[in-house]
Amino acid sequence: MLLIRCPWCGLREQAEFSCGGEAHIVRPLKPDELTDEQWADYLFMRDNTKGWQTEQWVHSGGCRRWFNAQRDTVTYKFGISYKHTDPKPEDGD
Amino acid sequence: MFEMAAMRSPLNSLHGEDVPHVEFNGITLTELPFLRHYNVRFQPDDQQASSRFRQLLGFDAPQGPNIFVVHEDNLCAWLGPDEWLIVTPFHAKDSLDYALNEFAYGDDFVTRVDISAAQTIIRATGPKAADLLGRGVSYDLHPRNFQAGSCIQTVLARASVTLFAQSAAAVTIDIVVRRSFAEHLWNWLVDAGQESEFHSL
Amino acid sequence: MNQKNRLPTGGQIDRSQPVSFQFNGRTYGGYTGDTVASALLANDVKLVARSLKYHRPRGIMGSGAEEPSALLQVNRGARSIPNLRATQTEIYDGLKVSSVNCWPSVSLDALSLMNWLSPFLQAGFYYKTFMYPRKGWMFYEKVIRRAAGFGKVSSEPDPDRYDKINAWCDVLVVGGGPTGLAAALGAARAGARVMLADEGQQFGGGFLRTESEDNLQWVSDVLRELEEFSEVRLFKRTTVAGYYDGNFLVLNERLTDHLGNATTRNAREKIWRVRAKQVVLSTGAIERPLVFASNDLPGVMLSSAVSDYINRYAVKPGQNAVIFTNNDTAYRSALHMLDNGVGVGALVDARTEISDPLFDKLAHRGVKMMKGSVVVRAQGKKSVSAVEVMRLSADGKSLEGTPEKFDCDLLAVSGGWSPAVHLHAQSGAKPVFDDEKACFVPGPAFQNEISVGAASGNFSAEKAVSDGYQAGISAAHSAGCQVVDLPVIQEVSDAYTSEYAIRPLWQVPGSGSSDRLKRFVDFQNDTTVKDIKIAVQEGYQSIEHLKRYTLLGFGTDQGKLGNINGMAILSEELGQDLIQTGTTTFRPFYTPVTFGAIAGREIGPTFFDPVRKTAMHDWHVEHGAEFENVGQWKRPWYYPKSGETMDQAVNRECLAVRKQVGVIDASTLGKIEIYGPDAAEFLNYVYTNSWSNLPVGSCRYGLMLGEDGMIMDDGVTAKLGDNHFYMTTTTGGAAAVLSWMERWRQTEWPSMRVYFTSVTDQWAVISIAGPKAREILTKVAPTLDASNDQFPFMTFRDSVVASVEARIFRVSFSGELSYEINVPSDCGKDVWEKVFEAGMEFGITPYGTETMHVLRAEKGFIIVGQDTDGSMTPVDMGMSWIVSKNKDCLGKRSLSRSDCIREDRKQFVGLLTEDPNKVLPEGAQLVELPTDARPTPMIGHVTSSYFSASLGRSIALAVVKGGKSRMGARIHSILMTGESVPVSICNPIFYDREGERQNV
Repeated sequence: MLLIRCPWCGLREQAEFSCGGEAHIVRPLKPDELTDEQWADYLFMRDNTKGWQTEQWVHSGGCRRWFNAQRDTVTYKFGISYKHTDPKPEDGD
Repeated sequence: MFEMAAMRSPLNSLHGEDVPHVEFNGITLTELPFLRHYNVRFQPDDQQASSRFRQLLGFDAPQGPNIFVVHEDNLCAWLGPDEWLIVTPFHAKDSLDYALNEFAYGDDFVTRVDISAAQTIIRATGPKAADLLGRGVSYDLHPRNFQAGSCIQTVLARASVTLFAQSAAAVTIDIVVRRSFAEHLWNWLVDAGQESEFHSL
Repeated sequence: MNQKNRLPTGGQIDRSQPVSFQFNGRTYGGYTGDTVASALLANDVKLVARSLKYHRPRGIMGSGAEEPSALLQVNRGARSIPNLRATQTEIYDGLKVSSVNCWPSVSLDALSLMNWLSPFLQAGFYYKTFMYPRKGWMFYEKVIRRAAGFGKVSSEPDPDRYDKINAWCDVLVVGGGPTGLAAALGAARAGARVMLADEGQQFGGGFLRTESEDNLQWVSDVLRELEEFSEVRLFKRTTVAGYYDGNFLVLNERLTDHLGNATTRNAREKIWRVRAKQVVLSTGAIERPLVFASNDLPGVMLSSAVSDYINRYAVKPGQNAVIFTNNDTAYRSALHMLDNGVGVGALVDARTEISDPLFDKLAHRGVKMMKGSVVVRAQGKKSVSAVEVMRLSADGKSLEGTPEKFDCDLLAVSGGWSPAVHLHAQSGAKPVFDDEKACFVPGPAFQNEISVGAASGNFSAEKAVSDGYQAGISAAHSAGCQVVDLPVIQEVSDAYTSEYAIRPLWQVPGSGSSDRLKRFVDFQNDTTVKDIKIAVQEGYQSIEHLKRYTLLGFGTDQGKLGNINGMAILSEELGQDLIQTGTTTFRPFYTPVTFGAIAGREIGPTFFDPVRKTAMHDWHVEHGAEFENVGQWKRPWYYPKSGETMDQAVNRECLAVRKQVGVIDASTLGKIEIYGPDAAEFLNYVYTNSWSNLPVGSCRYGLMLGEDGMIMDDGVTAKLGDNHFYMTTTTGGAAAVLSWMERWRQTEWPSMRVYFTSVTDQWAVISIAGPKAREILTKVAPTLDASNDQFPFMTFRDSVVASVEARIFRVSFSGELSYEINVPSDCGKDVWEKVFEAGMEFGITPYGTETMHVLRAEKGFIIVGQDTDGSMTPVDMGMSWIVSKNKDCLGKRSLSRSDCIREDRKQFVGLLTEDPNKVLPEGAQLVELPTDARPTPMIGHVTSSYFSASLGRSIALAVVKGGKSRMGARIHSILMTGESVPVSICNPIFYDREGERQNV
C-alpha cells in the first residue's frame, strides 16, 4: 500500500486516491479540425514509460483536488507531487 | 394547514430528543444532530472576498490544510484551497445565514450551500477514542500528529468523513459523515467497540 | 502422566500447570508453555505425519516456523484450523489435534504404498501421465485430489470475530530475540514510538535455547525496561506476515487460540496494518538440514531444535544421538545433549580444519569426533535406528573408505544457517550470496529497513546485542528522534564464542548402497535430489521453472528449510554459481494467515459494503417494501400486499401510476449544485446539448459522454439563477460525475469560474406521478399555482410543501404528469408521510424501482448502464437530436470517428415477441436465424425486458446491428435453454409516442 503526497493534505494512504493516468496531455483546442489519427493519438495513445512517469491523481477520499505526481513504474516509488499550476519538474529520484 | 415539519436526524433522533448515545470500554459515542452545516467557496487569493469574509463573520477562514478554527459559535474547517465547512449550532442559524448571504451577495464567484441536512456529526469521547477510530482510519491519530485543532478528510469504514480533534490527546474526536452513511458508520463503530482491548495512543 | 522424555528440571514450561491434550485420539500430558511438538517429544511420540506425495513417515524436524512436516489439524468444530505447525501450536487443556494427510492413521497409512510406487512418481509424473485420454483428467483429478493436499477446513460459518487496526510507529522491530530486544531498547531510549513483534509465545529468541541463566535474566531485564515506555508496544504471538510498498507491514496477532476453550469477548486474531518510518529486521536465521539418503526419517532433527527442546522445553528428543554438521553451531547442541543425559555417539563434521574451542572438550567427554566425514544414510523404518558414516573427499564430490555404522535414535543435523531474509526480500530488496558464510544475506535496502543480528548473517550473540542496540538507536534517529547520549546496553557474554566457520555441503555424494534411496531437499513437497536432476535434464533450468516442475519451495512452509539446498543443487547441476541461479521470489505471507483475519470485521450484509439509506427508509420498511441494492443504496424494489407475487405487485403499481397516481422515493439520484459565472459555459462542455439560452426556472435533460463519445451519464439539470444550476445524475454515477467535472475544471480549464458542491444527501426527493399528481401537489403546496400554464413541463418552482421549503421539478421519467418534490432530508420522512396522506383520496400507490423501470421502458427512456454499456454513442441510442451541432463538447469529436459512423453498429430498438406473454430474459442474445451455421453470428442482445400491464403484453428494449433501418424485421432471441424465440424489431417507444400525457 503506497503512501502518496497530496500537494495540499500531505502524505496519505493510497486508498484515499484515484489515478487518472498520464499527465500533461492537453486537450486539443479545436477537435473538429483534427484528423481521426490526430484525435486518436490524443484519445488513446500513451507513453507507458518504464521508469519515471507523471500521472494525474485525485485525492478522492480527502480534499477532492486533482494534482500531478511522478511515479516510477518499475519501483512504484513516488517522486514529487505538484499542482497543475506548477511547471513540470525534472524526473524524480 | 400543515404543522411544522418534524425534523429527523440521520441517526433517527427527533429534534431535541432521543439523541443516540452509547458507552463502552471508556468510549462514548453520541450524535450531535441538527447543527447547521454550510459549504463555503471563495478564492483564497481574492483579497476582497477574504476581507469581506472577516468583516462579516469576524474571523479569517483557515488558509492551511488539515486545520479548523473556532470563533464564538462557529467552527470553520479547511476542506480545500477554495473550500470551507462552517458548522454552527441550531440557535445561531439565523445570524450565520445572514452573514453568509451577505458574503455571497454581490460577488459572482463566492457561494455557500446549506448542507445541514446532508451530514451529521458523531462525537467519540474518551482517552481510547483514537484507538477505536484507528480500526478504520489509516491516518495517524496519535496526539503528536492529530493535535487539537486538526481536521482531516479521510475514509472511515469505507465512508468519506471529516475528523475534528476537539481536544488534546484526542480525547474528543468529532466525525462528520454524510447522512446516508451515518447509520452504517454508527453500527460499524459500535461493532468495533465490542473489542475489549483498547489502548490509549 | 507419563512424559518419558521430560527432564526433571529446567525449561520455560510452567510445571505447576499440567495440561492434557489429544493427538490422533490418544491423550497425552504436557505443561503450559509446551508446544504440541515439545509435548509429543516428551511423550516419546516420534511419528507425527505422513508426507505429501509418498506418504512416508515424518517426525518433528524443527522447533519453529521452519517446520515442514509436523503439520496438524486442530479440531474445534467450526473453529478447526488445518496445517498448523506442531512446533508453534501451544497446548491447552482439552486441545484435540490430529495428523493431516494420512488415512486411516498416521502409523498405518493406506497410501504409504505410494512410496513403493515412487519410481514412477518423480517430477512431472502427473503432467506426463494423466494427459491421455484428454477427457480422462476429469476422472483422474477427483482421485488425485483426494490423495493430495493437507487438512480440512470447516464448512460451518466461522463463529469468531477478527479485528483489524491501523497503527503508525517510528520503529518497528521484527523478531524478539536478543537482537530485536536490544534494538527495541535502543529505539525506545532514543524516544521513538516502537512496536516489537515476535511470533512466539515468549520473547528471547535464540537465548531461550541456551543453557545460560544470565541470558534469560538479560531478557527479562530488557523486557522490564521496555514495558515502562508509554510509546512502546510489545506483541507476542504476532507474525509480521508481509512487507509492502511504503514501509507498510501487516502483522497477524493471534489473541485467543492459545487460551483454548476459555470464553473471551476478544477477537480471535487481529491484523495490524502498520506504517513504520523505519523497520529493524531481527528475524534471526534458520538452520539448514543436510541432504543424504533417507534424511527424512523421524528422529532426524535440526541441531538448534534439539537445543530448543532440551533447554527451552526440558525435553530430551532422543536417548542416543549422532551429530552431523558442517559448521560450529552444532557443537553447542552437543554440549546441551551431554549435559542433559543424551548420549552422543559421534560428531560427524564435514570439515577437516576445526578451530572450535568445544572440539577438545567434547572429545574429552567421550564423543567420537569424526573430521572430514559425512552421514551418507539414515537407517530405520518408522524412525532413525542407525546411521552410516563415510569420509568425504577433499573436493567434496565423492566418498572415501568404508561405511561405519552408528546406532542412534536421534540424528542432529546442521547444514549451516540461512538468515531469514524473507521480509527484506518482500520489501523489494535483493539478498546477495555470501560465499564465506555460504548463505544469502541482505542486500542493499530498498525501503527504510535494516537487518541486524543473525538476520544479517552475523551469528554471534554478543555482537548481535550491541549491533541491535545501535540499529535501534539509528533507526530512531532516522525516524526523526533527537538522540542524545544514551547509556550503553548491558552486554551478554558467551563462554564458548567462536567464529562461524562452515564447509558448504549442499548434498552428500551418493554411495553404492544408498544410491537408490531418496535424498530429500524439500520435505513438505517430497522433492528429492533426483527430481531436481530430472528437471534439469528436461530443460527446467531457471529456478522459477524448477520450482513449478518439482514443487520445491511451495506449500505452507514456502521452502524455509529446503529452498537454499535446492538452489545450490540446481547450481551444481548447471555448473554455475549460486548467485547466478538466484532465489525464487519471496512473497507474503511469511507463514499462512487465516482468511478470517484477512477479512476482518468487514463481512456479511452489514459491513461488507456500506449500506446507504434514504431519509424515508423506515417508512418503506414499515410498508412492507422489498429492497433492491442500487450501488450502496437500499431502494424499495416493490411493495407487495399480502399474498401478492412480485409480478402482481408490479402490475398493480404500474397501472396505479398510469390511471391514478403513484409515489416513489427518488432521493438516491445524484445532485450537484453548480455555481459561478462560467457555469453555463461549463455545462456546454460536459453535456452534448446547449445550455446558453436556458431560462431561469427551466429544466433540461442532458447527456454526458466520455471523451471517447460513449454515453457516460444522463439526468435533468435546472437553472436556479443566472449563475446557478442544480444537476441530477444517475444514482450510480453521482460520485463519478462530480469527479469527472472537477477533473476537467481543475486540470484542463482552471480559469473557468465555477464551483461544484454535492448535495445528494441534502435533498430527499418525493416523486409523484400519474393523472392525479397535480391534485395532490395542490393540496400539499397550497401557495403554489400548479396549473399547466403557470408551472409547465420541464420547469421548476421554489415553494412550500407541507410547511417545508421545497424545490419542485416538473419532469417525468414515467411519461405521466409528474412532480419531483425536493425537501431537506431532515424533513423527508415527514413530508413524504404528508404527501401520502394527501394522496389517499386519489388512490396514491407507493411504487419501487421495478415499476419505475417498466414505466420508463414503455416510454423507451434509456437507463445508462443497463441499456448502454460503455460502448454506445448517442447516435446508437437514437438520440442524435441531443447533440448540438453548434458547439464542442467532451466526446463530440469521437462521434465522427470512422468506427462510430459505421452503419452496422448496434442500435437501440424495441422488440416484440410473437407470443405476447413471453418475457425475454435480459441479456439474451439475438441472431438472424437459429438455424444459421455455427458459430451463429450474434447481431445484438436484449437490454431491458418486462411485462407491461398497461399494454397487456411483454415489451423489450435491445441493441441490434443496423437495427434502426430494420423496423418490422423478424429475428430470433436465443435463450440459455437453447430455445429460440421469434421477435420483431419495432420503435422503442411503446406507450404515448407523442408524449402528451406528461404535458397535461
